[in-house]
Amino acid sequence: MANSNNPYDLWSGRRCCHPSAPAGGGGSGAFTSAGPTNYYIAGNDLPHPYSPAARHLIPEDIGGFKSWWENRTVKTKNVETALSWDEVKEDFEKWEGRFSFMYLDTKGFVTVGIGKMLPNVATAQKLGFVRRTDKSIATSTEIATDFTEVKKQPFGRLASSYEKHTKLDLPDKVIDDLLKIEVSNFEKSLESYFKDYKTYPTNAKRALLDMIYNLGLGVKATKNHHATGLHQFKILKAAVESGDWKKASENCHRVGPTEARNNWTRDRFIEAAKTK
Amino acid sequence: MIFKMKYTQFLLFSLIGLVLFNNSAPAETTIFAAKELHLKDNIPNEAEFVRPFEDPLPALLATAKGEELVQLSNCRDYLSVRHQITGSDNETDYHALVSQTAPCIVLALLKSSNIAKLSALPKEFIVYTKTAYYPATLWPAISDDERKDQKWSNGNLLSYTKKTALSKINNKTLGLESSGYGFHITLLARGDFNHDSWEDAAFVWESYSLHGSYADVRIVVLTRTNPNNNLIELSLDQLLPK
Repeated sequence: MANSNNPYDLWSGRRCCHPSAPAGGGGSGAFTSAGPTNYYIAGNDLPHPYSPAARHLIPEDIGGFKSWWENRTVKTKNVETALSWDEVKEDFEKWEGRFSFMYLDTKGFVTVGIGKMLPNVATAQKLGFVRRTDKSIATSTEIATDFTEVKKQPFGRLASSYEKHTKLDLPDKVIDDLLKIEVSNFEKSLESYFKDYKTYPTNAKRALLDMIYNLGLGVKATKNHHATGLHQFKILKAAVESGDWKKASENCHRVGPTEARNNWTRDRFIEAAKTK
Repeated sequence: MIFKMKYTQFLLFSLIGLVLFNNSAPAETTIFAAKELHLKDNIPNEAEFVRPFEDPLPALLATAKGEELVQLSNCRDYLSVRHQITGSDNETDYHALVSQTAPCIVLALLKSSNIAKLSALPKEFIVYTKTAYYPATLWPAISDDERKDQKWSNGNLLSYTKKTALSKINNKTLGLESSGYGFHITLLARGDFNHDSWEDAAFVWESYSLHGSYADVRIVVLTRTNPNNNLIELSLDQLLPK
């Protein structure tokens, strides 16, 4: 308690109101404003409707309040958004394709499912491949045979052209599970790179997921090293962090992927800009 | 006075002669087409333009009616729609499309090329490895931020990558890796592709990231009109207009 003989002085040093004083928006006590406490109302001086000051309001004041209410700026805590798994899966299938058999990707790496690169035979052998003929579990030797046969082929061919060199398939559930792990890891990278990633509109998250999957997070530039991966998109990063989705849509173009994919990514940011 | 003028003129003509001699190789250049193009002669014939691809290549086209998925069977098919292509079935198939159709562009360049009267290009590119001679545009700049950088659009590979020499990948291919990315160039054709009398060289350019799924392929045409100058890249859109 404050060092005072006045019975209305509190320990905080503030002066308490009389116990029978009428309540303001924050209840009885030492509130300096009669206004509501649940919102910060920029530029609005209207008292709380139950406060004594509200007795003196005239209809014009309330009309002004109504207009302000419709255009108000309310500071609320950022809300986390969640991606829909079906939507994410559809996005990746659209661009990476979905193949139950092993094939060679654009760089000649053995790949399976939805763009899951298999760096070596051992990685492939850890997956639950099944025989195409009867769906029974494949042996490690059979998996190694498929991997080696595909690896022998020239790359730069259509993904479907490798099926004839294989006898095994990866079940749908395993394909989905592999993608879930990839997406989860990429989202962790995005959370570390973009402040407030968790609260971005889902369309912006889908665009960023597509970009990081394609480019990797990379590293920032040094004196002797150019930036790589997402770090190459400095304007995009600034735009995303300031929530300027329109500007992000204008600075997300990648050289290499198809124009259709670039347009899709751009359109996701444009959609994010429409999010209230 | 007369002697002085003649002497000055002599010096001037000698200087001009020296500059001209240094700037151009002998006029006897021929059109060159690499074996990888599988051409009977150095100028492709119509049968070579319609030689079928291994598999028909799916291509997504932007048309007046919207997007249309078509199958391209040969170079003639590809060249007739190449400016409309926006994608394929998926990224792997798109890369197959781009890789397999890159030689089609060189066929088109060769078909319209002239025999160069002058050349300032090295006789053997495979031993011409100093990065200072090559344009920085060979570096795979993936973002628009990078492509707007003057050092990329106007500089040379040495200043942009700090690497002094290209590596010899094999007997036909040079390459460079730095900052998580790399590229290879392989000579496919030589000739006067822009009809300015000077020899130009067409390469297939393949780029890749060391830590991501990014990969790209395109045809790069390099030229210069002075052997002491750096090579510059000619725009394919100007060489092969729509």
